[in-house]
Amino acid sequence: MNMKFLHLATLALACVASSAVSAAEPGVTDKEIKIGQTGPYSGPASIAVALMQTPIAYFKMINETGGIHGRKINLISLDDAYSPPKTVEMTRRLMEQDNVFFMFGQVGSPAAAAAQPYLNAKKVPQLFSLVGTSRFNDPAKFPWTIGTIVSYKAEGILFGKYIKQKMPNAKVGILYQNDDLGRDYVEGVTEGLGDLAKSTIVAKVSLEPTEPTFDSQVLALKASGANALVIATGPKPAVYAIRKAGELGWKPQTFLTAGANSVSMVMEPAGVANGKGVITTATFKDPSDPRWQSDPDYIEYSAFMAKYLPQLNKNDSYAVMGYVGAQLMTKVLNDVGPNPTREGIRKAATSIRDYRPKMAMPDIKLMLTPNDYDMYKKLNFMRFNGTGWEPFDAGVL
Amino acid sequence: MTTTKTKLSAICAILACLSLPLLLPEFLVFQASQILVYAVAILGLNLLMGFNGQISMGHGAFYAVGAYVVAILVGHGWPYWAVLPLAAVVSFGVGFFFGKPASRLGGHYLALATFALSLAVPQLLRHPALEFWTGGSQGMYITKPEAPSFLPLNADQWLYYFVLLVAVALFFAAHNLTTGRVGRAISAIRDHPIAAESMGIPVARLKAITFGVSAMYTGVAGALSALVIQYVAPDSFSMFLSIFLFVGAVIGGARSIAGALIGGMFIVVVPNLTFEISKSATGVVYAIVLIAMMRFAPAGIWGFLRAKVEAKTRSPEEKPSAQKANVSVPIPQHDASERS
Repeated sequence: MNMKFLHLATLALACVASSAVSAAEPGVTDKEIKIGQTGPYSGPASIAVALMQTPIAYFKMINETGGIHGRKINLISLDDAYSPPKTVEMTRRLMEQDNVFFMFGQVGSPAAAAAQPYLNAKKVPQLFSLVGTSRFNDPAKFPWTIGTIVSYKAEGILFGKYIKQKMPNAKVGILYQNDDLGRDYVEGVTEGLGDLAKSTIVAKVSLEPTEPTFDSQVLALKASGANALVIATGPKPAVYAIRKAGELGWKPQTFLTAGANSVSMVMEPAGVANGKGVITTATFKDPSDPRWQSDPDYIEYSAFMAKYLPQLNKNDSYAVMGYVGAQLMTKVLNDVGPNPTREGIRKAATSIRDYRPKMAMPDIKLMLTPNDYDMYKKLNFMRFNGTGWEPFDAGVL
Repeated sequence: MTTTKTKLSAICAILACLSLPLLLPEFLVFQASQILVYAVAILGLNLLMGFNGQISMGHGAFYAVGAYVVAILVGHGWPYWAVLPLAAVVSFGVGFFFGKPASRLGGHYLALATFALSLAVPQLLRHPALEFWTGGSQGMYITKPEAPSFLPLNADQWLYYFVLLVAVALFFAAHNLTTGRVGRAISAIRDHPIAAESMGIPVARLKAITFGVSAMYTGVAGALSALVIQYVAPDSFSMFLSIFLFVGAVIGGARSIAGALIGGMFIVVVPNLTFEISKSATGVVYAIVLIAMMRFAPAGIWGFLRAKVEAKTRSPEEKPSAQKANVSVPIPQHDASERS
């Protein structure tokens, strides 16, 4: 017999043997819980790398104090280069080769969406994906995909409600990014406006985040006669839009998405004079906002970042998001008790009531129920006063 | 190598390919299917770049065309095996349609034009006007093809055999094409377009047809990928896909058929390895690997292996032929194409 064939057969047998691993609950031993994550370590979205590095560092901190219910948390995070086919490959690898207990914090809406059917078919929790789109709030179709780190639609609904209740005669223009984020806002604002939607919305202008300037979009919105402007984009287009509106002498009541309201990254480059009066909502405390300097949350977060992630910029909003996501995960792992199962994780996650993670805004009370996977019901409104964001009671119902 | 040894090795390889899904765990079978899919995509690029001398930095566009044809039609209830020929025809059409005017461009201009195509495609897929068909930025899911009931195979294994069948057929066809009369004409256009033209080869038309065939191969690969991954979205077909296909073609050996398989293995496996080496600088390690490849194997891995085999089988008295002659990156024919 050919030696090559013998070697091949041996190799094949070894593969079969090594794959025949079975555990009562995969990924759980007496000493350790293995969790899987995918995210953009390389490629166009690698700017968000803090979304992966922060939870890893947070669990390291937890492990140093003994872990959860006596088990260390092992978060295995793999690179998917923000490419959905790669996300599917890495998710399958984590599930089938690394035998993780469940998936956490997958980054990016298309990436998490690619893995959604597979994980739900296998009845594996896909928890707290680091996305914000409403397609992840679908308990009927995807019961195992639970929780997102922000909610674009919820914010859009609140903006719509505000306009309906406080500015019913407004003419609303929406500047939105041509992707899930932008679409969710448009849907949210429309839903929030309710029966006024048709008469109030005068313009919906889309943009691609990769365009070099957005002047034409802003001009189109101004020409539509809108006196209320909703900006549903990432940080870069938001800077342009606010600045251009100021240059044109156009002063609509502007509503800015929370994902693009960083003082240092958006409001200052846009020109603080142009930004005065802009309304936004807040999910997380902005580390670069002077308002939180002596806040206990900020002090604790600062110390954590200095000790475990000194190479990151602690003003990075992705770091804050990762920090909050890790806390949510820790809470669920605590709540599920010392004998965790996948079903148990699902139950624990959908039983979160009135929870405020550190670095979330003071009024935030997160709630997840088996029928509603949108955690954010109430968000703080804030108004830019030229220096920073001032919370105010919008009185929106 | 003696003929018996070669025959035995070939039989081993065939047996390995066929028994792979029955012996390996599901994830590795899935990865093997992915490698085959990329191999077919890169084969399309090799036909165009290596054999015909036309550079393309936009083949991800044709990959996307094939994938969306499958996603749309399977979503409407068409059986997946019937959609594949249609995906091939549509990709050929798109490739020919693009290749006809592009045949006038040479070298760097063609590279730019194809790159522009790779940038345009994700945005087109997101465009509100096409959203009804493409699902916009949300993307579309494709139900996983199941094995026919009389076969005791799971879905991953069946899909592997299906992809293997299509890949083998296409590789065989490519081999026949390139070693036949038309293949020689295609290579002649790469080597010396003016001489080819004066010999009676219809250069512009054949370039366009080659573009179409190349797009068809990559389109079929895209169609298969939709079945393997079960999800299509504009973000799956960014410009990076085109770049990685290009990398796979050059690293594998653009002037060969077998190089395409090596290229496929490279672009699937190597990024995972570089990530193991460095989490924070995975791209840097990848770049170092590429540079090393260019330095030590400029003709691609297949060219490198072939040169080694040739060196061994050559008798000691013969002078070793210049291995540099096997340069696989096509030399842009500026003067010739600008005139045509």
